[in-house]
Amino acid sequence: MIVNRRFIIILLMICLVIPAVFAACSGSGESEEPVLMEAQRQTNLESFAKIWTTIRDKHYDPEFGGLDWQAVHDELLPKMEKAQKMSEARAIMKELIARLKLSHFNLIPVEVYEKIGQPDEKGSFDGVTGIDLRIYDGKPLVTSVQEGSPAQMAGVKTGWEIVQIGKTEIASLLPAIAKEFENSSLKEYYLCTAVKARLLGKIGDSLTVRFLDGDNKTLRKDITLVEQQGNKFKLGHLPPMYIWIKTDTIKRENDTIGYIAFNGFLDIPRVMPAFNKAMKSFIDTGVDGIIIDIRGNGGGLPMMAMGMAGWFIEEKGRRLGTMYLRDNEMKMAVLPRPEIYPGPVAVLIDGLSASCSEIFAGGLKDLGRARIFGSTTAGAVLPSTIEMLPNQDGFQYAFANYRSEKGDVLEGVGVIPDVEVYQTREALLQGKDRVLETALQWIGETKKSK
Amino acid sequence: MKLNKRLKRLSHVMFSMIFLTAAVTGSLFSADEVLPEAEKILDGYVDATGGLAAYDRIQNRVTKGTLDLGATGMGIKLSITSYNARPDRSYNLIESDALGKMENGTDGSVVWENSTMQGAQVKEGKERAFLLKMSTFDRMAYWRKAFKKVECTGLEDIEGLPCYKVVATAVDGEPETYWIDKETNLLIKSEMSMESQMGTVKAQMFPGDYEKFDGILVPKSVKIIVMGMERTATMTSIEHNVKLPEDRFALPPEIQALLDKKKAEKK
Repeated sequence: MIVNRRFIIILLMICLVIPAVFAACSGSGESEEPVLMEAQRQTNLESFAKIWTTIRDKHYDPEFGGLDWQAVHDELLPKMEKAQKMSEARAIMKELIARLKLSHFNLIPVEVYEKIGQPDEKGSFDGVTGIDLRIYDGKPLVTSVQEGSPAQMAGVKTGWEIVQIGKTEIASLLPAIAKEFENSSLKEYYLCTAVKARLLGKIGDSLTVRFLDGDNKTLRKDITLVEQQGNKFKLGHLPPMYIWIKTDTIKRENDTIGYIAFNGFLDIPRVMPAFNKAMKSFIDTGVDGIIIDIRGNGGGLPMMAMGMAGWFIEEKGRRLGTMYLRDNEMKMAVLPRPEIYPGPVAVLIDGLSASCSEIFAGGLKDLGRARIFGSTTAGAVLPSTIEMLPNQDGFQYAFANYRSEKGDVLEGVGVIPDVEVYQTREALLQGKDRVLETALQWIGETKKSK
Repeated sequence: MKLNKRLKRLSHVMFSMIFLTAAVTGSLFSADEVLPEAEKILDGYVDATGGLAAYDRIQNRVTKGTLDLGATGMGIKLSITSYNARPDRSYNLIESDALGKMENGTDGSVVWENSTMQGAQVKEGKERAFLLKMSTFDRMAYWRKAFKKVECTGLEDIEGLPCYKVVATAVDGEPETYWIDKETNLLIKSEMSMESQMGTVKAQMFPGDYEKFDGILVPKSVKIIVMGMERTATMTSIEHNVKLPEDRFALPPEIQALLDKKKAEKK
């Protein structure tokens, strides 16, 4: 045979775990929606059929979690046939996939793809303020302000509460979402995403944001949006994403700690060399511990997680877990690097750490190789891929279940940290990162105990 | 000569016949039909693709092409370059803007892999044995060396073509199955279990678009199905008896360093 079978083995590893990131980039709804032409109605019906048959044929659970999949089809098809507008058709297709009640099932409107390749200044989602946030006690608090960003130049500080973005009052936005996801591990994820989505816009546009500062005084800031930090990266049918990695060495008392943070297990040509270079440097200089900060990291390619874990695991045959397909399984093997870092490793997580981040953190936790700090992850861990539908929308679906090395199902549960640490408004106002501080302290204590 | 066109024509004509036969008998193989010996089928494959003498004249092969990860691979395409030489040396390179660089190879003894993602690895155990076996140059042409037992177990319809099903037991005892076109003697499908770091997985391959290069018929495309995921390899250039640099199959420095380290640890 002319095709080298060794390629096939590599192909096995190219499967994706991508979070439900598309909530922020769904249809625009800017203008009055036209009634669909007959040809469009037909492609929507074909798309509905493709979604239904794909799940029927490829879903890892042939029992569909107890659903009568045929009955779901028979119930929704007449509604689909009656759909007069694109939004109506998409709502029915979304309902179809929502019946599974699982992460990693999404519909990505064609409009998102149409923006791909357009100049940045015309893109709707490339402009940012430089603010990162999390929800604490139901309130969105600024958790970081990017250096040199418009938000920093406008004087925005960590710990400030965001009360209004444009015309949207946050107090009226979040309760409904919180209620919808009351018992879901994705609650924090969707609450944050709802606020974050409103801080996005066109590069160069101005956004008015109202805050409550440390004295609970209302401040209005007009912030001009700039391009997101990181490399704009596109993988297959995924909409483009900005991926960044930061590496640093933290000096604390007598300790030297290696620090790596990155926001996605993607952009291999840039992220992996930076990660590898930092690890080599940490090993060569003999740091006292290493912190991998994947708070807010939405996931990506599991093979990257496996490659990164190889710097910490010396023993061969260890795994970050197993993916279970309908008729087969894939072991997520860790391949030890030629040089291994033997010291303490802390992984920082939160409710926005999703997907591949959970496999990385959960895997290292189960292998006893890292101590996990922060708050429970999103519990959205199913391996998935994206196919194009006849109507040109993207359809993301999970093709496998995932269990950690100890056999735990993380979907809907998330990775529970060894040390639960939450940020407080007070600490944020003082510019403190309680999660990072706790991890640094643990590394210091571990060093002393030796 | 592009045999795939003929195969397609044949498939259209034969489809209805096959369908009817299968519907009536439940199988393509009628009870009174005697199956040929597997040895003859495999020899027929070798002859149909050019004959052993033509294979003997080929010392190495350089293949370039693309690998389309298809719908389940999110439309990602990778570029591939493969160097293979007698008796069992290989070097394969996959490059992609999205996924970085992946290399693997063997000098006939050490089986290795090196990638941006996972670093340098020397393969061991079952995985090494499997990859070494698969690096045997034109393995199917010299099937008598590769298999200790072959058996024709039936006639099956594969993509509209009646094919002899040959179950072959490799020298290491592992079974492999081949479906060879009854009319053209070309290989239409193969199936085997593969050893990898992710476990043992079953793979099906469907070679097609056969074209003659230097006296032998070579499939220019191969559909690959692994775990329900379909990928397609398409060859854009195939060259034989290329003057390769001396060190084409030499171990890369990272792999040599790993081996040196292991040696030092043993001491």
